[in-house]
Amino acid sequence: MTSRFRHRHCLTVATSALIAALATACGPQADGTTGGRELAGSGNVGGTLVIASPTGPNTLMPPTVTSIQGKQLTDLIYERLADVGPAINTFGDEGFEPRLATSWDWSADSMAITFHLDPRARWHDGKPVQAGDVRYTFRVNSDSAQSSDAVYLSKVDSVSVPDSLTVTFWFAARYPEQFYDAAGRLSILPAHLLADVPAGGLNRAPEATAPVGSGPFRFVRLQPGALIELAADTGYHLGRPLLDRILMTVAPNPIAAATQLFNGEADLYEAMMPQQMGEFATHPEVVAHIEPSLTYNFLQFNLRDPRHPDRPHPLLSDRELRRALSMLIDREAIVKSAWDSLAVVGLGPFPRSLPTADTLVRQLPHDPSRGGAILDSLGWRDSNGDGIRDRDGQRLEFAVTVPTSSAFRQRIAVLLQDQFARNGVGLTVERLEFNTFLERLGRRAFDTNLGSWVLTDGSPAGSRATWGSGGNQNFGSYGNPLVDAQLDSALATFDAADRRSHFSRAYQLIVDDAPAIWLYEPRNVIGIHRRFVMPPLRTAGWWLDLPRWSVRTGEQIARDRGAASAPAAPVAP
Amino acid sequence: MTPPSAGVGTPDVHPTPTTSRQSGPPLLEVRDLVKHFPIRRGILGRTVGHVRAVDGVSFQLWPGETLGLVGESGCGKSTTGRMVLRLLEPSAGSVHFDGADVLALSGARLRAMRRHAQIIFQDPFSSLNPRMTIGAAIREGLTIHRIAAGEAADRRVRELLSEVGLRPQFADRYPHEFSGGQRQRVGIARALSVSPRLIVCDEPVSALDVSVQAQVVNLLQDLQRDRGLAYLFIAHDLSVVEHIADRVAVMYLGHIVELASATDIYREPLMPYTQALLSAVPVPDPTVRSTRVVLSGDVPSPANPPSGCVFHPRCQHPRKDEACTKLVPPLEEKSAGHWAACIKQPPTTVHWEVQKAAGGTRQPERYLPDL
Amino acid sequence: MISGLVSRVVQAAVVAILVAAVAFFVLQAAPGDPLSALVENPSVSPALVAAERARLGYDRPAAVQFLSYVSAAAGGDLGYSASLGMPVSRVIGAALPHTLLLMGTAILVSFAVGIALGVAQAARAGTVFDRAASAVSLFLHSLPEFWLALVLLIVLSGRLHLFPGGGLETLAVAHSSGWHWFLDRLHHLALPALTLVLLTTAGVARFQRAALLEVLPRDFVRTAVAKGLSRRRVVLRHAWRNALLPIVTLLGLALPALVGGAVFVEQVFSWPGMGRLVVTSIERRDYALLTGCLLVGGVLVAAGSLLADALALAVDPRQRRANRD
Ligand SMILES: Nc1ncnc2c1ncn2[C@@H]1O[C@H](COP(=O)(O)OP(=O)(O)OP(=O)(O)O)[C@@H](O)[C@H]1O
Ligand SMILES: [Mg+2]
Repeated sequence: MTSRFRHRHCLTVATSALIAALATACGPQADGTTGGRELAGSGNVGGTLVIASPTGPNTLMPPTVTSIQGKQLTDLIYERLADVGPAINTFGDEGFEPRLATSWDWSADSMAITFHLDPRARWHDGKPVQAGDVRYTFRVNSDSAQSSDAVYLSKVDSVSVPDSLTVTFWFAARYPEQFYDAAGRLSILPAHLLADVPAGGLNRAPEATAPVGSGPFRFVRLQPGALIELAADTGYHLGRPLLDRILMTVAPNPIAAATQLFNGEADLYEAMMPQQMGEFATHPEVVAHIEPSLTYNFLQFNLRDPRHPDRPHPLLSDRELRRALSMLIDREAIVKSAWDSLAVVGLGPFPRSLPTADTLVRQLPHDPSRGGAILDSLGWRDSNGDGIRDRDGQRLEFAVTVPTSSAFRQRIAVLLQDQFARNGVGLTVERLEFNTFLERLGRRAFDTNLGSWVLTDGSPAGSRATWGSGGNQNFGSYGNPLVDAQLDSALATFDAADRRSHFSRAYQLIVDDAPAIWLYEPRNVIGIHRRFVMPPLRTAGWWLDLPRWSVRTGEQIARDRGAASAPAAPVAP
Repeated sequence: MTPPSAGVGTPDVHPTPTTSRQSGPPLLEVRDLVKHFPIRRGILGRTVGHVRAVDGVSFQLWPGETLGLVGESGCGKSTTGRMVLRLLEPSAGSVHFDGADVLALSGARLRAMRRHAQIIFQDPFSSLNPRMTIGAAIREGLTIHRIAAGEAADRRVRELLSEVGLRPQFADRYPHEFSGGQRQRVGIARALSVSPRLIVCDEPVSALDVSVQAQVVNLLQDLQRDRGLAYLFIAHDLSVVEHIADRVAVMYLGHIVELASATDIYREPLMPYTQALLSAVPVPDPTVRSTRVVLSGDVPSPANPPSGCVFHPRCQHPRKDEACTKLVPPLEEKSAGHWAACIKQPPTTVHWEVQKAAGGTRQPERYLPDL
Repeated sequence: MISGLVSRVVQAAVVAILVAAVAFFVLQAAPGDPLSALVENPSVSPALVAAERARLGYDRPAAVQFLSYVSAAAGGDLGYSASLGMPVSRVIGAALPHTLLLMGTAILVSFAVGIALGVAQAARAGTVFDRAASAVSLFLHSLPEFWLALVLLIVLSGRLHLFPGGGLETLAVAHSSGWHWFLDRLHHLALPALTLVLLTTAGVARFQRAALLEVLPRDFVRTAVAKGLSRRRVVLRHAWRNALLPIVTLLGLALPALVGGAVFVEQVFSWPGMGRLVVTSIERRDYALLTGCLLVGGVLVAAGSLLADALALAVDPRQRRANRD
């Protein structure tokens, strides 16, 4: 668990080649799409996927889901009006695929979007999915006490229901992410089951642990903290998923989880560690899918004094100093040493697979002599020969906080310590229990921290919150009005090229200011049993195309042949 | 250290002390019995020395006779008694019971022998299995030795209980439900159950109230008369033994230092240690004055016994000299049937020349304090 | 006797509540609460966190939270687990049987093996066998639980494929018969139970050996030998039965130790029991769940020691008779 934060950036996913291919295939779509396309495609029907997971979900109620496991499961159980698609573009409706909606129309002034629901769509209890469900979902999610998405729905005026299969979103303003906010964010909830639940009670409703959705997989059972079973919804309106069952079993210990994977007890484990890679060589039945991730890790400087937040940090508020410190660090060497080939050097406040990423951002060079010279010129010299530079009796020394939950971050802290020490900079490593680490982060009580952002989806507004002035996740209190302006422009423009260039300029400004040392982007290593056939995994989530997965002919194992709907009920001896 | 006296003290030449009064073969014959307990130290349990608990003890016991075995705590009485029954393996020496070499027996034959030789322990609390009713405890011996089974065994248990003065209904009670004296009676009944010919009584009354002591001793005497039992009666003071023993052996630090008929021992104790023991016996009449021989100092450790006569550091004999520290005194017959180990009490086979050669400066002279 | 048991139960209840209270306040004092992870999560709005916090009552002072918790718990309501999104009673209800199965098996096997080994050692005290067994016991006893569990997992499951790598049962496979289902459960139980057995047996054996060695030189054992009984009968029927009481006491003590060991073992072997709930609840600052687990754990331990007391009564006629009178 190297990464705990996530961003709602608008996220794109696959390789740029794929994006290009899809862009040409679909073209710009102003008035909706062809409806009712089979989701699953071809392949064998039947099969069971067992996922080993480090923890279980804390709830299966979509508006309040916060864990990655909860998201994985609710993405399969619930359905959205439209799916952002493998080429995830959250600006406009380009690339979106129909789900509960077969098609949509924009009003002439683009201030309203009308969705036409698929008449075949059914809740897992057999009731039809109706426009009222969409309106109910909107109401729940626009209440900030019930949903984190409320902030995105603030520009939706109202939702009207002309008839049971038609629903219209009325907007107060025109903006690039209108469509995504209405169609791509919200998992539609069953009003007929939840409408009577009092506000704030959704998490305690029976459906929070036994969800009834309209997605491709139905909920079957839950053993708290241990096991969740889903089964294919054979009545799914876009065609049944090919697999019969999905089981998520919780294996908290990473060695145990990998053992289960390589023993064939589990089929998929996504938190493989570099030292476990060797196992793949001796277990050809398990394939290592090494995928780019939406995570970036960095050493973040606190520009404010941790003891007096109203004052600048005595050392790290100095831009030149931060730039010099950055030049002392050999990121290539650190990545190689800690991750071997399972991570790449970070480029800036974005992962490479983000569509707005700019791999050409000018980097601060790794140049210890130049960094040293800058420090010298700033007056930081080792005057007393103790190996640490000083100035006016103050030592060039600061602390880094690291969560003990991450062996990698601890290792990297030591590598950083070593490289700094060689250049006369003292770094003390403060190892903190994860909750304490978070708490210190929230209080901004640190000199530097080894941080990480994991983007699962979300809007580019996230970068405003993390690196923009006064952003509530801007733990280092970095701020540059020029950056803010570039980000604001990037988020407001309807022009794709314009957007790119604004983001590029914002990234370059941030990198030049060195509010952090951009260390690495880890790759996701997902071990999956060889017998599964699947489309290319999506960067935003390997599980997103699960309805299309199938088991290769002739490679079925015992659990693939289990009954399609009934769980394997043990007979008491 | 080898004692300088010629041949004296080596077990083989020890005569077995007997009393002329006895006739026929002895029931029990013990020769030169030795028990050394290793002293272990450290995690590896290395042997760093030995406790010489019993260091060459010989005696005989005839059917129907009681031999008292007396000495201070730790002198090796219990060890001797246990070796006789082979509850403890001797380090050396021999034990013959009814002519059979007990040390050569094993397995079933040893267990069969045990039927004939029983033991009663000092502590009536610990000598009975707390998890067994006393009936079951008594019955077990009967069934193991196939003396009686089923109904007959139950009947026998009840008979035995009434024989030792207990109510037969007590059979299904547990030991903790009895008083000390009652419990010792149970112990006796249990020992009797297999109709033994010898009972080793290891301080059977020491733990009991004085009032109860006499009752138990009387019971033992009655049983002996009725059944012709032989007793090896262990006690740590002479007064108890006086009433029951025909002969008395006095032990000190693993050695028998005096052995004689009960009357001789009390009338004419020859070994200074016995003299000291006797003067420790409470005198019932406070008007009787005596030259008290007081034992000074502690009993030396059997792990590191004194050289020569083991009693010499505490000896009050006026003729004690250097020779006592060098020569191991043989247990020798001083008068008919009266054996004692003291080279200063004439007559002695350790001649004056020998004593002088060992540094002796004082000629042996009879010493009998006024008891 | 009844009043004795009642006072033991009351004692146990007080201890359980105290333990729960200490845990509750210590966890409260630690940084963060069940929702703090969300505070740093940009995808969760601060308004939602605040609303949820108020709903769960985390905005009230710790003492008030604890009192309301205790009064609800007295009525059988153990509260709501924020980290698992369901009532604590449901979570514990699901986990408890698994822990009981694991611990029950471990206790049964380790006591059976430990007693047998201890008796065999005491009967041959000082021999090579005894010393070798003691050395091995000491070695096993000194192993860290977590480490042993991992080594067993890696070697016996990962390398040799003798056992499954965790979980309760083979997933998603319909068993052809109850017997096959039983064997499968047993197969999954084996490795976690073995870990606990290896750790516990050593202690039991050492205890049993010492207890028997203490009894063997007693006079009643000599009496039994003097009766002419076989050595086997002397050791088993006379000596061993009197050396059982300390073992029964140990049983009472072993329960808390095993509960502690189960935390690691359950974690490593993906065993969905109470131990894992404890870890989860601490990691996620789930006060209600942790307090509930500790309460139930306390009751378990108390029940264990009551059971030990009851067994002691059964084993020792002295106490039985004394109580009868
Ligand atoms: N198993 C043993 N291991 C080591 N030493 C022992 C053992 N049994 C007895 N001893 C030692 O041997 C010596 C003689 O013990 P023993 O029990 O025979 O004495 P005792 O004359 O019966 O004394 P008491 O009147 O106290 O019963 C004592 O010093 C005792 O400590
Ligand atoms: Mg004794």
